[in-house]
Amino acid sequence: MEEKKKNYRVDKKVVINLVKNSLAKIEGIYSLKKNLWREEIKIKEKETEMEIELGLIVKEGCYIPQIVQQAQKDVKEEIEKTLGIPVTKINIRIRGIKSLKRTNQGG
Amino acid sequence: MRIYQKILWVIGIVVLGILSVGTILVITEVIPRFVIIGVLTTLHEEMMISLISFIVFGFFLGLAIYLPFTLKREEDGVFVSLKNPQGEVEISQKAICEFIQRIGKEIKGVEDVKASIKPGEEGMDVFLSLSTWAEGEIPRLIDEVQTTVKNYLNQTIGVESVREVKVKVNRILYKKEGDEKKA
Repeated sequence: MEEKKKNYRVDKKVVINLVKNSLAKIEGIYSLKKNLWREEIKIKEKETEMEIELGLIVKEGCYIPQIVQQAQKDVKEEIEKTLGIPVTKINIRIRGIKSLKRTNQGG
Repeated sequence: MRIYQKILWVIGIVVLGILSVGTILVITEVIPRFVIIGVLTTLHEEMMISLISFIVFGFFLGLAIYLPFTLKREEDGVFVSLKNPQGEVEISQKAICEFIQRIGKEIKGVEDVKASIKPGEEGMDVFLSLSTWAEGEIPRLIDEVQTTVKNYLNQTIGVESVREVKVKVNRILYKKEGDEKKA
């Protein structure tokens, strides 16, 4: 459950929270895709670096490649700045495009 | 899901059904127990029948293990990849189809849209089946649907090349006189 890096350890929950915080700040992202038990975030630990896989639901009306690029940049920067662990790859799967009109009508 | 997978699913379901019915018939004694005992004895004693049964039920066991994976593969396998230097980016075909259906329904004159896509090396093919209202010219409506879908795929999802948007009109709906008056 825990990530090792040199002389300190970082719990995966910490990484997940950092990822969530970064994504929450991006306008075009609606949410992380929720699976049966948890959200779709996979952290792959390597010796001194990590890879992240995310499943996202984006908002309609945004240019998806731009949102994805923003998400990759922000998550990478947040983790590297806060934890000092290099992030080599952030793989993203878009699982849905949320219609905001429908949400507004529903709410 | 491919055709052979559908056939395997049908085989699996039929076998499950037969086993269930057989078990119920034995429990309710519609099939006498001595028949079952006789069959089992034959299986035990006849080498050839025993071997065939082993192969057949081995196949069913393999089927029981394999079939759940066909669902998993289908869920995971249908993604459209976008180019990105910072990592792999994929969009599920389901998300794209739902999106196309939603924007299609927003076009005036369209009642319902069913969409499917086929990504290829030369570009993405989109297949739409429409239910439309009998108002205005249908060729013009189809043209509008094709242009709108193409533009949205390009401007929202980032699909650079949409090769073709094939449209099939499945139904034309007529408004009742009362509805027109209300409108």
